[in-house]
Amino acid sequence: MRKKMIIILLFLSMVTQGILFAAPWWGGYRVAFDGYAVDAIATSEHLSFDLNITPFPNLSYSPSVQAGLAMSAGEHLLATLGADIPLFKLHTHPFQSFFRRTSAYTPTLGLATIFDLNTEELVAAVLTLQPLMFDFSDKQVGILGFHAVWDIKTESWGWGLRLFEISHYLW
Amino acid sequence: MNSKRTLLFIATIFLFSLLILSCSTTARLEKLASESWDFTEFMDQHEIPSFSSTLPVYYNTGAEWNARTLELIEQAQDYILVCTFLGVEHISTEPVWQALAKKAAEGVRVYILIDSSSNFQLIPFTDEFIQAAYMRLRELGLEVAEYNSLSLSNLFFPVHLFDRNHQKYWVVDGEILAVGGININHTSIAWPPGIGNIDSMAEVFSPGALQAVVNIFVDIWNNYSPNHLKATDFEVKDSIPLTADTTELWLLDHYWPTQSKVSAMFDALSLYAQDELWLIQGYTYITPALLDRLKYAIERGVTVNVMLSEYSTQAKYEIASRYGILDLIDAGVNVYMYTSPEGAFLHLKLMVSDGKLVTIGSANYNFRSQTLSRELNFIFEDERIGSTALDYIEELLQHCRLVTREEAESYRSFKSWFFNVLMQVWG
Repeated sequence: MRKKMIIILLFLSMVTQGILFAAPWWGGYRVAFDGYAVDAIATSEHLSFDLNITPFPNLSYSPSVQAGLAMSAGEHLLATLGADIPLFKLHTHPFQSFFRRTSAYTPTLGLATIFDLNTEELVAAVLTLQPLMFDFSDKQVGILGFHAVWDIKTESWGWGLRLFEISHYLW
Repeated sequence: MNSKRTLLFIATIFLFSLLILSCSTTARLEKLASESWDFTEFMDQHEIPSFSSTLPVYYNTGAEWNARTLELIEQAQDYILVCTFLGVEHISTEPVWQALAKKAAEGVRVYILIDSSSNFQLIPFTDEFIQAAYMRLRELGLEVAEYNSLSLSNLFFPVHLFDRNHQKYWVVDGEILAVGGININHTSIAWPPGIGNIDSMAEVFSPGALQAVVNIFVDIWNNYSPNHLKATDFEVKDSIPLTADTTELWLLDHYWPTQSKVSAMFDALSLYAQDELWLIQGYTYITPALLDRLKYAIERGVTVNVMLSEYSTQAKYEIASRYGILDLIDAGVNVYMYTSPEGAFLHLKLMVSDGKLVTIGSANYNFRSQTLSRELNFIFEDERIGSTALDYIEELLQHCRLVTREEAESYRSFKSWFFNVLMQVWG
């Protein structure tokens, strides 16, 4: 499964080489590293790769839609589908000096659903708050996001952390 | 092992595709010639727009242009847009950055776009890096955007990684547009001290071209800065004074693959030359397809001259360039080597066909400029401009020698071949 995923990712990587230089950006990929404390999802770390599309790139507060795969250490494969939206944007912010590039502070709120590809079941819905998200226009970087997770099987709330996420626009 | 094979296969296909894209054959040029388009029709067919413009005024050394930029900054009332491939923090560039910061503090809108390659600039004749200007500019309170930062995430997307903004231009108050090859770095404006590179910026007033360049700048800026701009916020003066001498200016804005225009410009230079073609640039990184264009002109009786330069500040670039001289000579090209009396490097990118068709800007006659370098050039079809260009070439020729085949052969080695291959994508 993992080899197939690597091949798919390599293929996608090569395909995206030919469609560059959009203005403004409308699509790319997102990599994130998550952990969950929910029965329906393995407790090991999940590395996820999503296709990230911004359907209204000219809007200042455009939502983004993501679809992709999340992989855990134990060959546990999840499919995710979600969307997020920036809550506000601050061009002058206290974290500016941490970055070489000009950044805007843009906390985001996201909603996603998680399917377990091993059991072929919808297992969870996730509400994510990214309080430390920084926009560089072609990239967005977030750290220490918080997940509120609704476990569909047990019908109970759990939680999770997003250690980091990087969205990189390619076209 | 399978994954490795797959990776190797994909990489091979990718490189092969790039080479295919660079290919141009004599047959294709002959087909273009059979269309019998005049130059204007040719440019229309390739969607290269033209605008009414004043005749260009040239600034022919880095130091000369640096003095002019300080003057332009001082005169600016509303806005200054600066796009440079290389922008560094150095004693020689500090007056420009300081002058821009002073104007910004007075309320003039200043935006500076610098390519991420600036992070890899070396002190002349050393392997020591020099600091890119981004942090310094932010310290000075200036708005700066880094074009396509060379970050870890780009390593997985080689085409994206090599997408570089090689354009160099200034827009001041919607009235002055200057395009050329001069960066805001230590070598362009201050090596050797007091002279800088032998290089040119061409300054014009052209409302249409100014508007187009403002649009280009804003589009790129918005892709690399979260502080988005609107092109409509930058007013452009709308008419050329009736007393001014005017000409038609074609504005070539190249980015691959959707606005791939440089190859069309190279085709035009080869196709429309009847008598003499001049290509002037410091280095040559020639490919078979580029050589074909020159051969096509030579076979029709055109004298093709290429002027290269001594005194590169980076030995590897020079070694790589010299490998290709033998190919040029064997194709029938006269190769001149410019040796500046002051030890300056000829960084100019000037091409002149029959003393009439002239292009100046950021594009080199190489594969990178045809593909992953974003380029901006002025193109003129005007004997007045051609005559000025030929006079300047005549001046440069005073310090040139013709490279012999024996000399060119002496530059051939495995090392020069290796660097030449690297420079096809890097240089």
